[in-house]
Amino acid sequence: MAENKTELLAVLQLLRKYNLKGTEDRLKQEASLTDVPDNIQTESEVSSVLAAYKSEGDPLTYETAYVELRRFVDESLDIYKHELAMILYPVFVHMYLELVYNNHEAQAKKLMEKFGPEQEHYYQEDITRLAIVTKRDEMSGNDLTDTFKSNEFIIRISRDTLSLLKRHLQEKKQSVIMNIVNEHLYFDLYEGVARNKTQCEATAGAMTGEARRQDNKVKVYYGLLKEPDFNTFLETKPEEDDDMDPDAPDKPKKKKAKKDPLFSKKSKTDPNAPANDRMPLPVLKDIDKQEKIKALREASKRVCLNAETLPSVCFYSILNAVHSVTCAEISDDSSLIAIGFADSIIKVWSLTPSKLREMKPAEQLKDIDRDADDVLVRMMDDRTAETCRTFTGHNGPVYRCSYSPDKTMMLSCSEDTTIRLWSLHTWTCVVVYRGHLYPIWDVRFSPHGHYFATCSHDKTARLWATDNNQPLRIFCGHYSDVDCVLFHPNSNYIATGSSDRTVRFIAYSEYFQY
Amino acid sequence: MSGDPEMLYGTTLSVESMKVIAESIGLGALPDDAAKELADDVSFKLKQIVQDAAKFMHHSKRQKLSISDVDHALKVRNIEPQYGFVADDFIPFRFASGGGRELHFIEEKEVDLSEVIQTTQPKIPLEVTLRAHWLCVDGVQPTVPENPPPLSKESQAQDSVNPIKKLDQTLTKDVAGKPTTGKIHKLKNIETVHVKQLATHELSVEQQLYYKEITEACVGSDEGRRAEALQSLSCDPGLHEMLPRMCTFIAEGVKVNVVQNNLALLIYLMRMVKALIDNPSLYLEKYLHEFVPSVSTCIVSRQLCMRPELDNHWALRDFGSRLMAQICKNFNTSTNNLQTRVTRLFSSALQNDKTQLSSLYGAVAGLSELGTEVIKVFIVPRLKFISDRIEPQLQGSSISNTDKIAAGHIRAMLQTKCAPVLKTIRNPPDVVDEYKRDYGFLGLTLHQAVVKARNAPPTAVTTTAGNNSSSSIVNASNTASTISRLSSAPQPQISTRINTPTSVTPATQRPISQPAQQQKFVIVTQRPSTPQPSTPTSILPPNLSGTIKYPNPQSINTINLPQNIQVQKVQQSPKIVLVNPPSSQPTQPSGTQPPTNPRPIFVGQQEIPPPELDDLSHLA
Repeated sequence: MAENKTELLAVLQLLRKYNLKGTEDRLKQEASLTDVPDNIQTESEVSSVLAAYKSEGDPLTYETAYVELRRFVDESLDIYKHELAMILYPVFVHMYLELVYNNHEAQAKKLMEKFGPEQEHYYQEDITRLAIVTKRDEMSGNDLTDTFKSNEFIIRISRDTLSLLKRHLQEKKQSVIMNIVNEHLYFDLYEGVARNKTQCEATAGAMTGEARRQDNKVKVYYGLLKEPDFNTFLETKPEEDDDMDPDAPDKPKKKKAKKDPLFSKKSKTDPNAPANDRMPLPVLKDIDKQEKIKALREASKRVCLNAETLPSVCFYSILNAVHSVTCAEISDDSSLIAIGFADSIIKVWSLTPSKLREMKPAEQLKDIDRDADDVLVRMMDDRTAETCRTFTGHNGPVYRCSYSPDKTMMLSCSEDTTIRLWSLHTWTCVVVYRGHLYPIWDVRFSPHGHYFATCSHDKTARLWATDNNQPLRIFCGHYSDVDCVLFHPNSNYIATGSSDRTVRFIAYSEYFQY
Repeated sequence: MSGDPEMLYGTTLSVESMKVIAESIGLGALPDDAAKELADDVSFKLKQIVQDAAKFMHHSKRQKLSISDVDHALKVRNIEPQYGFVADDFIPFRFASGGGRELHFIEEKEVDLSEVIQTTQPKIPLEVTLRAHWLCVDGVQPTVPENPPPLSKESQAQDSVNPIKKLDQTLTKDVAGKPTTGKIHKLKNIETVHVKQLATHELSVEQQLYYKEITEACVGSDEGRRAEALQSLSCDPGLHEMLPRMCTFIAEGVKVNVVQNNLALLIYLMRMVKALIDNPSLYLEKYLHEFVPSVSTCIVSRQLCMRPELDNHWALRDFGSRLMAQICKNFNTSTNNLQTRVTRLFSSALQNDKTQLSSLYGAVAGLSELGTEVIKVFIVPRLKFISDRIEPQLQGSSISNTDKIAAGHIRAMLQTKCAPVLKTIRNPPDVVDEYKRDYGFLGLTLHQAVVKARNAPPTAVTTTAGNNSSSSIVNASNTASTISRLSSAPQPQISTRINTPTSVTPATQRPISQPAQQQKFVIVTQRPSTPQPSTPTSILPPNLSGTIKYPNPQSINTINLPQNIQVQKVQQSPKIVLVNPPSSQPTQPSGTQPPTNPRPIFVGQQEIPPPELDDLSHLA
């Protein structure tokens, strides 16, 4: 009856749309539908309800129809075969859902048992999930069936292949398949030769079919950002030295001689790089530049691995953690390791002989000479040196930690739907970011700091800035959990991976109106 | 979801389950339709929850779904989690069937709260720690215990079987971590004849140091250090380079100390052998020619100690016998015929009527450890011969006390070892006279033992394959020393020699069926603080000391022997089972109990592993 009511409501909606007042009133009277609110359903819902799987088709014809389609695919010419085979899976899924929707449970199960295992291996996981739905009631509110119902399955197809398919369908007059193809499949037509098996498989497998060709036409600036000019930085720096330390006049000369080969070649601009101001990034402080230079120097000392120079590998084991480690993150200079545990704590170990120190309290910080070279060292309290520190605050398993590029902060995300920002100076929690509705699977700092991205069970990914407790952007579009997120090295893009078997590459910087 | 019906089994709850659940909450008659409807719905919801829980498992980087995953999945669906089901261990599903019905259930035991309250609080779990080790340094794997052994046992076996392989290796040796074949042999040497350079066992300074420390600790007087050294020998990978030296050390040590009748050192050396055999990364076949003579010397030598009538050299012989059995088991091949040769050695001692009784004991012990078949073929036919040998000693006609003790030991040994075999080869009824006719003087004792074995309840023994006997209990109170022994699982015989004729309770029987690897032999020489009254002790003269001289220049050790030497075989099993009741102290040879006896305890007692979880096999 409930189902009937929605249908009646949908009809009412339709009548209202075409302004058929009399009929509408009669219907209301007849179905005793009083006080129906206006605009209960949007137009799309009307059509979806009317179209959804309502089929008068004989449940017994489905199997023969599928077998016939499969035979047609098998017997077609090799060049079209693989592209044609792409429609088998969506047709199979929608057949199954139609059967389930029309309460032909036995036939649906039979269809699933017979043809489920022969679908491509990359669909098997979804098929397993689909197979548990065997009743009409179970279809509502189910992610997977909702996705199939409300989205067209996109298949890229060459003109020749499509005409071949259409001819076949018209000849055979298989109403079942005709319906499915018309209602639920979208053919993204292209001119040219049909694709071969590898080309098809390269893009197949997602829950909603392939990406439209139109979707991936946007220009991507995949180059790296232009590095700030270290030469000028290095040049100014020695001058300061000169001012302060006139006793060492030979120092700057040495530095100038040394720096040139390493940093001068960097000044060329990559044509594919985005403009540096395309995305507002934090301004580098002197200390950051120093760090960068240090990292560059380190990188230049790296030795290529080959048969002569074999790698050395250090193996870290966590002892006495009974199945409770959920994530581990080593900082990029291999000085810290952060381990997240299922019992909500995070432990940070120092991997170098230098211990983890806490910052001095504010009263003592006042007394420190701020101009001293080693001010950062002086800020730290030697008495608090420890090799391991624990962060307590989360309320569920910690799924990922991420260091800020300058290694003064760390982010963590957890099952408790919060993201926490921890200071690696005071060893306390600084900010709690709330916004996600469901467990957060991944968090990543932007390679340039300041921004970070998260993704969650709530099917969204979000972009945040550390200074704002609201997300800057919410990225919707995935049909299932967003499992992982990663920044492009130039911080202009985010890639998200989801359980709907798609990767989305998000260009968010267009929308920044600074 | 495949068409395979096996996979679909149990994917939906049955109507009966629904009815049972309904009954349990007080709904008497649930109609079939309702039950069916419910079963389908509940199955669907459960599957959805499990699918969600799998996401949490995946993100926790685990392979096994845990209870907390299900809780989180429930939480995501806004359902109250099921509290109180958290368990660290795997909870096995029991399965039972009968009358055409199959049932899965979880065994739940009632917990007595007062018991829980009264028991001491469990220990705080250990702090989570981080540990680092080098997996490889410049592409070479260092030989630390965390890493797998650099040379697999297979390649060591290859080395010993195929000499050509070694030759090839010398050419490409540099990869193997330690460039032992030095840079002196350059390319031109390769062209010339190469065979002489095969064994260049150069040890690094660290290895030399290690060798020195280990050997000193093994034969030194500090029991703690010895335990550590033996532990290192039995566990550390990468010892194979030092193995030839160790073997020489043991072989030479045995040679010298047998002559000097230095029992303690012989025991220490045998423990070294044991440790080396236990090392999973070592392949000893190349060195059997040194081990086997040494071990067999310790079994059958005429005299192993200064005062044979007082010292417990029987323990050494028993220990050696078990070692020999282990060696035979591990290394016997169709080419080396090891077991045949060992058996021939021992049985020749049984043929000769000039053999000393102590050697005879060793030969019997050595043979009886080799298995039921060996006992059947080599000992049983010689029982009459042995009877004739020991009869005069035990009948009191003997002059020498030493021989009398030896004869007693032989009798006790034969009683435990032969009774189970005799039980199978002789048919009841057991007539004393027949036994006397067949086995002479020993007939009476054997008869008693067999009768006892037959009367023992058959269920008392958890039989392993090939076990056909229950424990025989022997009154050994007349023996001079006592050795508490639980069974030796490699042997089909299960024998328990204890001092009083009490019957072995099922509790002590249970660990007997443990696999052989779980056993630990602990020969204890000193006993620190906690006194264990139930541990039988055997006494050595208090002031036994000796000097050994080795051919190796660096190893001249003067060793003050500890005062107690005691042989214990402790099983590493859920429980350490002590067979002797506290009251049954062994009769000790008079006057040997030193008043300044250090307080005794087990040394090197192993950490007891957690009890094994139930398996379901017995229910299936």
